[in-house]
Amino acid sequence: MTDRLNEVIDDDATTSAWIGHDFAKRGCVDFISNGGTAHVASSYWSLSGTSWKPSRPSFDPFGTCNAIEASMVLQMKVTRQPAMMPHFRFSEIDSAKSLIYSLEAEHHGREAAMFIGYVVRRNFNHRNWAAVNELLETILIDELTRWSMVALLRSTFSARGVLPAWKRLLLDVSSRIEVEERATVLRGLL
Amino acid sequence: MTIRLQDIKEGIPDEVALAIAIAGEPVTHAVNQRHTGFVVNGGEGQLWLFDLAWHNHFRKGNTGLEYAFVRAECLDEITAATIVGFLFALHDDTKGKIQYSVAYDDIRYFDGAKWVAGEPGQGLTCATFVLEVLRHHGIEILATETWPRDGNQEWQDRMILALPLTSEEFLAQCDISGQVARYRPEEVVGCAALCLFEPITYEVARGAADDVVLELARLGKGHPPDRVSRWP
Repeated sequence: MTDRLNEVIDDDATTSAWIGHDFAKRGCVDFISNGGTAHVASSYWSLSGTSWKPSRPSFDPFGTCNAIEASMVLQMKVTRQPAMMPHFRFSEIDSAKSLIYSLEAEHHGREAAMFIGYVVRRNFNHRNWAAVNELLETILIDELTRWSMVALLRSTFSARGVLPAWKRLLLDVSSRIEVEERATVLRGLL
Repeated sequence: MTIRLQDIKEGIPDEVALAIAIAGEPVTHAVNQRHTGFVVNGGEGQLWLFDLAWHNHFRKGNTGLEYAFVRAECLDEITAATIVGFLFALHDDTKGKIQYSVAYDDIRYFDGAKWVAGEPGQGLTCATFVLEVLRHHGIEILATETWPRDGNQEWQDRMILALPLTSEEFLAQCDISGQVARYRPEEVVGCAALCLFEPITYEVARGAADDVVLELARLGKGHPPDRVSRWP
């Protein structure tokens, strides 16, 4: 599997492949570790347009990410956002938003939420509040499901005091969630 | 409302991504002492325990069979997924180095997944680690202002003496011993099981904690309260 992964990366040593590798390596645990999501994962990893499909996701919590990692590389390669890929950096929020929209459009809300958490943490770790605020301020929530909406709010909650856009995003999200569900979905945020 | 713990041996339902685990004397080897942490459901029977076991010993590992767990009623699937991602990243970024302290303050403990409470005397216990990770994501399960500040000095002194602290850290914790609240693992687990919207007060939490201890005994994972005093 590792050979296959290396082959994928060597075949296409572009920024997109590298980013897919990095995100998958650091973020894959998030994908497979939620909700006992074998069904979600298996649907996610079955990659249309590629010749290689892992039979089932596997994950070694203390080692490399093998199948999932390779799958993410392939997923990134088949994501149809060519304009964003060559310029993608974690601090470049436009690129991050493009990937979030793409994942949401392909009905991968859980994965979009995980990617949001990843982007937010990476920027917070470098105290890059402005980038996160930019993300909150400019993201088009009409393109999102509640997975991404809530993930944006939860993952940035602790820093809301230094994120002027947080409150407005909360109000926007709140207005898009049914009244009877707000208390549950936005518990502790309102 | 009665709290019902579930035995980890029976596994966690697929739809539950994140639960709160607790163990009794068989794990702590100490009288009337429980231990808590998060248990993450990776599917297909794979469970990981994320817990602050000791000073600079934040663990990610397999969940032992000595544990029981409760579903946290306050966690919807999106919030649970967000916290799971945070726990993996936190372990990765901290390399397990999270300080232990008997104090739990209204300060910033994390930036992103980076541990930033590095001053002497700052840190968390196993129980306040659970509280703080939830609070970091907007979930408050305890009304901390209702917890008593006194009556905990004996336990706090014992912990401070046992911890492998530097002189500076030791002195900082000595200064606060006996003056800060103690949040017990069974209280945190009880509140996680009960809390729907409003944080739980100390009075309610004590009843919930008693239920948790009884449940641990029912599952054979701890001694019932009436035997605690005779525990060797």
